[in-house]
Amino acid sequence: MISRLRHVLEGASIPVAAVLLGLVVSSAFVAIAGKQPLPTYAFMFCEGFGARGCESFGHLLFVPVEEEDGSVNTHFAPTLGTRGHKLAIVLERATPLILTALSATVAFRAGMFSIGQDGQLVLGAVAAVFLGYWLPDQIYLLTGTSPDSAPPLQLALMRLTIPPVAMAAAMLVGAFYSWIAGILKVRLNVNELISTIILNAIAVQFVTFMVNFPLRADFNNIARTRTIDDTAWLTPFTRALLNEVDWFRGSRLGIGLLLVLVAALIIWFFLHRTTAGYEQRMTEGSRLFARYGGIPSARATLRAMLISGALSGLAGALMILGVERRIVDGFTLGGVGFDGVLVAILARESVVGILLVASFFAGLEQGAINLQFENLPRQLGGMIIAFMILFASMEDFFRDNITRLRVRLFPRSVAPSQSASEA
Amino acid sequence: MKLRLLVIVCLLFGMFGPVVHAQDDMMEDPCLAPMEENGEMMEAPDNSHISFEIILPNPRGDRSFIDSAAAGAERAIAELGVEGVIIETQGVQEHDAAVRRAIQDEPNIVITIAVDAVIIEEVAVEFPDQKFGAQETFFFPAPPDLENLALFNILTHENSYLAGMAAGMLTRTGTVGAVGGIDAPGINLFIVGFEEGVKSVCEDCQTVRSYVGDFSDPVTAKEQALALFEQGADILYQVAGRSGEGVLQAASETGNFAIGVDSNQDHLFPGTILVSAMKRVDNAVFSFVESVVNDTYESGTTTVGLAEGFAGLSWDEGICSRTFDEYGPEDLVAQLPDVRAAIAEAREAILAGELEVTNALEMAG
Repeated sequence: MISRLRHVLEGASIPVAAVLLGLVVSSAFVAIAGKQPLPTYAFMFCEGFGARGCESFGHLLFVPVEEEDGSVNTHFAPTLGTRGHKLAIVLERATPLILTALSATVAFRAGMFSIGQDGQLVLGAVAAVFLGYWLPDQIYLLTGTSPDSAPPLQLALMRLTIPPVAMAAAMLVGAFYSWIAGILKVRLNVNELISTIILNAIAVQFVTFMVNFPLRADFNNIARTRTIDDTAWLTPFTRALLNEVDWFRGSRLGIGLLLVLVAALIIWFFLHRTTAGYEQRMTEGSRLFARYGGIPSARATLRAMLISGALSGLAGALMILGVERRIVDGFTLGGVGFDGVLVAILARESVVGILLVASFFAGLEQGAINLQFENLPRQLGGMIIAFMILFASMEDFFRDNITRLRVRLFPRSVAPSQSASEA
Repeated sequence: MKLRLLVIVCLLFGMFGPVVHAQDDMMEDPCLAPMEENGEMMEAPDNSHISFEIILPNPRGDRSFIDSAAAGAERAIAELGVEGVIIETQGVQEHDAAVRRAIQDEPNIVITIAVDAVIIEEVAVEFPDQKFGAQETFFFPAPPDLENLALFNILTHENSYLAGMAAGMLTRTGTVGAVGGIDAPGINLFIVGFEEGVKSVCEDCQTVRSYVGDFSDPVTAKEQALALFEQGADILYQVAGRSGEGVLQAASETGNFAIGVDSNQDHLFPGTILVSAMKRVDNAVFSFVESVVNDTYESGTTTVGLAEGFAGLSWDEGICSRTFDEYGPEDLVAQLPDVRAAIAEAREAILAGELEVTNALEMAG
């Protein structure tokens, strides 16, 4: 039990050390930009995770609020939602990120280093946006109604059916696109890294074409598709359900997040508690050995790629149905897919880790972009994140040193070497 | 490597190099009148309780449209004494988050530049207490009628027409062209006006066009410009944001000429750029801020153009760019007084309503 706790602590200390080191090294650049590093970082973390009024690291946890009568009270920051909380926007950003990270993890866990999430995501998004306006159009046409005149029952039915249909279609498209890389690997032994990169490029170009020509809605300066129908909108909490809760104000966090949590649970169960998941993890270890042991490794690979693609496609659908509601030319450059790969690697392919790292990553990114609100150059934020990732990837270096430190401090604690396999 | 060095030197030169000197041989040029001495820095009034935040659609540094907007914001901060924050975004995928973040600060006005109409309408409805000013936003799904949303459109077909006249009169080959960012009415507004201007002074002139497909791809733009020069064009009008720098550079390298857009770009490649068709996005931004300072903010759409001074040429009074006079080849410089006279005449005609330039935006309706 104690050794297990130590294992978790050691695992957690690596990212923390990476973040701290990243901040220390970035300080040089903050200084070059003519600012004090510490207040800058405090601002960045407040922008990422803080409540309103957050001005220092301490305010991330407890923030003083001036009441109407002039007295100052201290509130627990994460739940203080006056006029909207940054965490709601962080979770909004994290929603697709978690899915693409899960997608990467499922593929990695079958020994496929697939980075095709971006391509699958944008294709899923196109499928979702098209169905999001085309399906309701057809229904209105068939029933001879319009969005304004349709009876409430019909609208309610549409609200219940159209988003799932659009999401399912996006998942199918994503799965198919990912399956291509899988079948290329299994049949022709094409390196999945190369095939997914190329497939990404094809998908991005295809979507750019679709948005600029067949699906283009109007002559707007920047090409865009039509906006999805109101009934296809995967309702944000601010619009319904929790619209009274101030915490969500300004964000479009919605049902999507709940779906993502369910997906994470299913993926965890699939990987660690089912035969198929076992087959796939064996395939990750050694394709040949797995086959020798009677495991259909080709099937496991393809299955993993299908699931991976479906998750990425779903990420695209959630971005469209829950947040964007249309595709604007340039959407394909969002990079959520590739960020998902980074998150998966940083979380070391653990599902719980992904939930935490994705949220942290989303908040950090938001804080970094928002550095501009303190009149800092926006490039600085990107640099700080890049340093953190760089240090986080030096996992072995940290692990060795932490172990060495522990052995030196507590010589008697050297336990018989515990397995490093997942808990 | 050499090329890159050359570019850097050119850029540096463009930034710090030429300063317009007063010349004494031309007359009746209002720009050459000695500068009046009331240009001293006025003490900015203290309006620090008023704040604005402006969202730029792309990073600064296009030396055109976006820099112009940022310049307007900086002028507002300096002259009106207000608090201002300038937000650069990396592209459309960040617009929405940036606008929403700006609203959280609750400034007196949030100004957006070329942010998509869907985003603006959504937040304007969601935050009825926040004032918005949107520049360069066409094509709302339904024309919005919101108390807290002011739209500002600058029409640029008329000043493009004037720039086209300059091109038509100064071309040596009888072929001039335009390089647009994308094939959209907002860009064709410039190009159609330009081509009409060319035809008005040179009926036999040929006009050619190409579209880059992107506003931040100077490399492709340069290739396209080289191709157009190859086809015989000798003056190109660039309407392509940062991509347009490739056009200017191509003109400079091949000894041809170009016409700048949005900002005054005459000094970027002295002697290459005849004139710039300016779109005073800076003034639009400034007027948004001014409207909240003076409490004259009004919702609804305002459309301005040549008549209101929001569109013009870099030769005009107030800007008085005379870079080409100084660095251009002699035969063209010799024609400039005639060109300016013709343009002044056409401007009068346009303002008097006698001359109508096609508005490509309305055609697209």
